Amino acid sequence: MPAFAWDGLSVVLNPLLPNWIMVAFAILFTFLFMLSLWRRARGSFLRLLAALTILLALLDPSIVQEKRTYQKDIAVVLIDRSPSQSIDERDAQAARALALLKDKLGRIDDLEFKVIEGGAGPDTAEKGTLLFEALRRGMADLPLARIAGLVIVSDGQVHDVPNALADLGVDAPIHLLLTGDPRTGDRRVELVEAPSFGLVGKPVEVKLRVDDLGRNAGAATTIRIKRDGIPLPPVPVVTGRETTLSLDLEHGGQTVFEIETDDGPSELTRLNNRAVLSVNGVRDELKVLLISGEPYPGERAWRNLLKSDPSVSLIHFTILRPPNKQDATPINELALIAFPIDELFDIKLKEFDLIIFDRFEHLGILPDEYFRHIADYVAGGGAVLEAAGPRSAGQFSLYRTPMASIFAAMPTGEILAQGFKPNLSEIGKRHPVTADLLSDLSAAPAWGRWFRQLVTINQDGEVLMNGANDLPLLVLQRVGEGRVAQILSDHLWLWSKGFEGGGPQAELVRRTAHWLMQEPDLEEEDLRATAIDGKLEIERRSLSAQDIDVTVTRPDGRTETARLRDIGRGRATASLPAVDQGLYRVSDGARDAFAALGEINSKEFNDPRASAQPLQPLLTASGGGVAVLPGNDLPELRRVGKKGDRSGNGWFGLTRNEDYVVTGVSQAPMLPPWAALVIAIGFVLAAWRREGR
Amino acid sequence: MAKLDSVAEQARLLAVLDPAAQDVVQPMSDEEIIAAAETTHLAYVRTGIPNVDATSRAGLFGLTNRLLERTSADMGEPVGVDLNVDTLDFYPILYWPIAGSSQTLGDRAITEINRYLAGGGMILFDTADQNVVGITGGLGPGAMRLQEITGGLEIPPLTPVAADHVLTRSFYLLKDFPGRWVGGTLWVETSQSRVNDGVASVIVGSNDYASAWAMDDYGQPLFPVTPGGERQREFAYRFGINLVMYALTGKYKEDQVHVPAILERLGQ
Repeated sequence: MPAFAWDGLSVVLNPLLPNWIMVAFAILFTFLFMLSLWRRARGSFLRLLAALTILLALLDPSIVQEKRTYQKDIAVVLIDRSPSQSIDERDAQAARALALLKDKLGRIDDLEFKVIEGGAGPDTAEKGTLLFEALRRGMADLPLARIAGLVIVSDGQVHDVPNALADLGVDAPIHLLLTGDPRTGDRRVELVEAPSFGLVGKPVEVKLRVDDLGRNAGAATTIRIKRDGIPLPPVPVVTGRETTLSLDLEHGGQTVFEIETDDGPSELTRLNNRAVLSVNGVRDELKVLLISGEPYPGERAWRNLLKSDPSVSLIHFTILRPPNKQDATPINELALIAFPIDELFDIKLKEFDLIIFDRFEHLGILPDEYFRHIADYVAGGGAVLEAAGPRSAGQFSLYRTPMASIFAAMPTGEILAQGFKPNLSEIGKRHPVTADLLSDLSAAPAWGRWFRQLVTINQDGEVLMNGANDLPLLVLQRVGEGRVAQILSDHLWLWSKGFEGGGPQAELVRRTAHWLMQEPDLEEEDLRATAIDGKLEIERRSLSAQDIDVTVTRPDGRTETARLRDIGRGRATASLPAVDQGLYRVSDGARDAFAALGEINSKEFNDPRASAQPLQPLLTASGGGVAVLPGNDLPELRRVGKKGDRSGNGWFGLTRNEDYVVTGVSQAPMLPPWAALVIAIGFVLAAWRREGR
Repeated sequence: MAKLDSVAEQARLLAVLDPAAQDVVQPMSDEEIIAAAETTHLAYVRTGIPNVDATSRAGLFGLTNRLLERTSADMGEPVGVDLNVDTLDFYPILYWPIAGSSQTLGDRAITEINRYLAGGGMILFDTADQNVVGITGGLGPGAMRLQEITGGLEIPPLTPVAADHVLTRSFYLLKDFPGRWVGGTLWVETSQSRVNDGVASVIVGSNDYASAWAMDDYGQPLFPVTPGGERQREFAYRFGINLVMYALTGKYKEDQVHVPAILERLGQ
């Protein structure tokens, strides 16, 4: 149906006959008209008019008018609810602005409005204010063609501003009502470079900068540092200048540093004056000295166990030939070297993290002085593992030297030669060194047997494993700053060989050695806290089985009590919800544990100043304007055309989109058949009369 | 020890007498295990041929004596093991003479030997045919027999002992490894794997070592060694001592090369 239209009105043709007949009529009439012109017949033009009238009548033209309903435009109000809006009066300003906006928008007849809130969420520290994400979600059900304008109520610190206006899909002015005073400055600490792990005993370098945002750099201030809650000496810094801190890690595992600056000349928030840094301490290569008293099948078991531990650097000495067994072989045909006693037991002694005596006898050739050194070395933080042999009860054993003072279990002189299954003691079932060796603590272990047991009397050590006749087999003891372990049999190698199925010798030795070297994961009395995925997980290790209450201090200073439930194997745990960013402190009275939740530099509070800067390109591109809220009235809201200014001094424009829907049509024939008949007959009569003159 | 052995002997004799129990493995008694684990024993594979077994025992007896005289290793009496019955876990090294032996390995023996090798055990196969091979060349009768016997065993790839192998310096400094004969190549497992610290589990020689080591109860040698005489016998003992030290201390001597450097680095 051909149609010609103009603003809701259109002319529609409805031919009554097929097109080719209409064309044939047109050709016929034209031919007759030409013929009559050639013949110079009178009334040709009147006849033509009559013919045209008939043709037009056959086309049946009609006027169609659409019934249009114009749609109301929609104004969108986007409210920033991000944490930085909590600074000063920003929230209150936003609330007041929203109330006024609702009032003003409600009074505009042909306008609806929708309020969208965004920017809050658990990951603002990491991602900052994601306002446009919320906007996209909120606008999903709105017809974009009807959007008259967007009013953002925010401090302007938005971190997901689209690069181009077109990305938003809205052709409407975007205006900003700025909460907060853009003239106020703020001080912040920014960690420029912070390692997440470091070597124990070696300093980690942390680079940071204190900035006075909105002010000139160069002011002197102070950085205060706490390591695991204990204050370190303050460090003077100059604002705007990068400072490198050298922080020591005193132990393996997590060390939490709190770094805080003094207040600046103006402060919006103190949240960014503090940074929490969690550094995982790892030990450098662990230097282990293994001294084997004699070659025997267990020696290779020790070597295999220690050499397969990638963190261990093994130095091994074996007494291959005792001094009393000399033969006549020339020295240049022997591959033997002298035992570097002075070097090992005196000069370099303190460099070793662990000394293992494996079936060692001093054979009467070593002066007591050396053993006194070793006892001192242990008391000063060293570690000794004594793996007793058949002669450990004898006169040349370590127990007959000044080293005896560091041992908890003393041999009686008796040695049992009988088969027995090593088993965990009750303490062993809770101790981190042994608790995980058995998958089922209530069942007897399915391990192979050993066949030699040194009979000892345990004085004050912790007996983790029992051997023959329930005699102590693995005994741990703390001596001064150091640690000592005794394995009172030399048959560990039978497990390595897989005799009767073997046993967990690798885990046992690895864990014992690492406990001796004070690996924090193997502390029998320990409190740990980790904050992850909105949960604060607390674990306490203890040799005594009981539920226990701990005090939890949240980042905002609130404290609460949490009950840890004993779950066996020396562990008691609790899990608390934790949403707030910052440092959590857990204390059981004897120990404190720290957990840091969130980013070390909070993106949200990186720059908390009120500023139109981040949004400015978008505002300019859309023709929108900025108004600072504090101390000012809300700008006037004006309806504006699609073209022309969209904002001005004191006013925000909302475009008229004039979007409509068609609700119906009315149709009127332009040439009713009766009128066509009358007109055609009139022309024919006139032509006839003209002809008749 | 001898007494315990005879107890074990009797137990086996009983097992043989009872046909129903013939294939049943008699587990070692606790007394036997205690004796085996109490101290270090050199062990040889019993072939069932009296001559060969007696030479093996006398050889290991001689080597044990030399170890006791010259090293700090605390050695017990040599033990002859029956591969089809005994547990091998206690023995750091197994001397396995091939010459003329005719035993066949049961499935249990093959499993047990493979487990022994995987668990850090060591076998010295002695084809003892260098006197033949030295003259005729090619593959000796012992080597051919070795291939038959070890069919089911997980024998790793072997390579001639390199001049800097730990075997050349685990106690004595050695250039070659004579036995009763000289000249045979000593083959060791290619040391590449990290399993068992890269210590070889299989060593193959042809110099008839037990005969060179063999001594009677009075310490007198039982067989002449050729061509080097007593000097050669001394070096045969030195090889034996190096071999046992290698079995007991692994790559200790190889690592020790680095010790001065490590000590130097300490405390810096």
